[in-house]
Amino acid sequence: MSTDTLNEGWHRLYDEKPLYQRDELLKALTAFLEYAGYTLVPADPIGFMKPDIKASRTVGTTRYEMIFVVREAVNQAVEGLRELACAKCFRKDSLDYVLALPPVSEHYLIEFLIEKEDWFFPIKDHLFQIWLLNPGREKVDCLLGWPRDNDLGHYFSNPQLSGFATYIANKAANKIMAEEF
Amino acid sequence: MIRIPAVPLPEGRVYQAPVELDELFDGVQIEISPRWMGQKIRKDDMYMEIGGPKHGYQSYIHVEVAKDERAVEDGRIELIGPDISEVEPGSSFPFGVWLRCWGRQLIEDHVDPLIRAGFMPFEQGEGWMLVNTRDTIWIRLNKESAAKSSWFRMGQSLLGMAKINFPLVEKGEALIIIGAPEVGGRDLIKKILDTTIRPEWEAYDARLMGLEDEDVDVFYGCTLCQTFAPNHVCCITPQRNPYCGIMSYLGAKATVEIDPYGYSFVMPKGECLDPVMGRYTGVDQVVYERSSRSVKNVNLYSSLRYPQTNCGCFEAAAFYIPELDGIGLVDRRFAGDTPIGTNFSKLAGFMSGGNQNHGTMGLSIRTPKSKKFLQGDGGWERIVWIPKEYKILLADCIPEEIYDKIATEEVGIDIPGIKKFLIEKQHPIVNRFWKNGEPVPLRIPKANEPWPDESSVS
Repeated sequence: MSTDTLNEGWHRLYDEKPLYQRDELLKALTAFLEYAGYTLVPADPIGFMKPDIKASRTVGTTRYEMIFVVREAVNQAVEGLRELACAKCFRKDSLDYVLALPPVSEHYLIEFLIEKEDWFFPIKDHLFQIWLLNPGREKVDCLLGWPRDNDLGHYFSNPQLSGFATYIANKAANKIMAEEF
Repeated sequence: MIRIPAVPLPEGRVYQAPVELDELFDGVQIEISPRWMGQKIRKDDMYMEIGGPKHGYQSYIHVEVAKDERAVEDGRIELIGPDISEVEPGSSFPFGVWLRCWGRQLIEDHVDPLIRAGFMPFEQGEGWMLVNTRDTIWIRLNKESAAKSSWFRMGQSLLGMAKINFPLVEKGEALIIIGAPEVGGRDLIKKILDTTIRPEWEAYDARLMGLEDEDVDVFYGCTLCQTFAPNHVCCITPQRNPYCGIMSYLGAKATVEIDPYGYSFVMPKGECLDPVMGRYTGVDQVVYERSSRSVKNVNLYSSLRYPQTNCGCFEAAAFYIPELDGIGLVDRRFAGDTPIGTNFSKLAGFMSGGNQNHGTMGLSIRTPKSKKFLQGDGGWERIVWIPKEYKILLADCIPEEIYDKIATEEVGIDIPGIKKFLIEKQHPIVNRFWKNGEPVPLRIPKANEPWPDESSVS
């Protein structure tokens, strides 16, 4: 029997109900990006994957390009990250890679990232970003990572939330020690 | 020039960093951005390591607020010990970073958030890894960024980040000591820690622990976690730390002074309606406004009746056990089941999200140290079960006469077994809360609903 359906195994399943549907999230993300001065460009396939949204902005001679994979819950996050990893095989560091989620349970996210699973490390190794979208409150925040386009930070409702990475990293200390000592 | 009266220091190399605001980071070659927060640098990728377990964590980052402007030579950076390019790849040293800051409006209370500024270039620097803070600090630099880094540039970044993140800082200087054997090694750092740094940490902690809720005019609130838990509002008082454990009352005060429009805010106390439960009109009003008008009442010192909402980053939890009419505590590290039939993970999944779940409450590791801890529920006399290791961790705050009367997983998680234990040990709950030797369960309302005996507490 596969353990993937239990709260054990390589990827656990969390008892969560998505707060928003995918369509609502896509609409909210599109509105946010346009408001922040980004242009939505055709989300053509990149290698083995197709982003949900692709957006770009040019400042002087610098062009910022971002791709987004939008998912509804922590349970879909690994699959979303896998999509981003596929894209990164082809586009390397030329893009910002973002997994966008609705407001998910912070507790489950902590378990997902570090306590029960270890997805925090590969996310950081590949400089993937996780954004949280709240269509009801028209708020977007960057939870992990940060866009190369630093100006985009002014549009997040709470830029301080990116400090969450340090909170998780401190929780990871024991795991790093266990690896090396 | 920073000198430490109790410890003679060898001579260092002195650098001058730019002090004009638009030049603060001139010459810094690494990117400093939240993009790099939380990096993990493995041993094989590491160029050098400072602090950490190899040196028994004998290292520090210390911030001093100077009272006299003349005590600070703006932009001065002194390095004692080898520069980054002068050490062998794979080197590891204890270290010390001392920042001295001055500003017309800068006061001692600002040290807490300023220390965070001291961590920032390590925390957000491209190719740097920062783990933990204060007395367990551990930092690494990777090979790729080593070629672009020097201690002068790191000192410049430290001062620059302090100035741009905390505009109250007008002048700053830094003393960086890399504890290589030729400058005194671990002994030098340890002497500075023992004679100067630790006593200051202890004095700050004592000041914090000495403050009581009655001593202050206002409390503070935090809504940082509303991104996850849209209706959650955290109340921060001298005797009630936020669940995440990352901020103190003084830290919140300083954060609000520096950034009055941020996620932390003033929570006026208003009138105290119930000193035992911890009900204040001002707290109720602010929580109501900031929780999208979903939470009307909060008792600061109760997990049973109108407790504070929970986000999801709490380090431990209090939970009601109806069959015992008692309260259990469990921390994140305990993987087993609790007497209510769930493990921490499942309990936390239920509690988190910003609802007011009567009968459960998130805790920081420090929360039980408060004299007002759950006093509205009966305090330690109502607590009947704690996992063994967590109980040991809390040994200093559990009243001696109750310690042995609180059950652990060694007694079991079955209700009859715990009940028998409590009776045998004459736990105070038996006489104070049970009726005729039998527990009488409370009828806990559903999340966000009022208690049946009061349709609305006003």
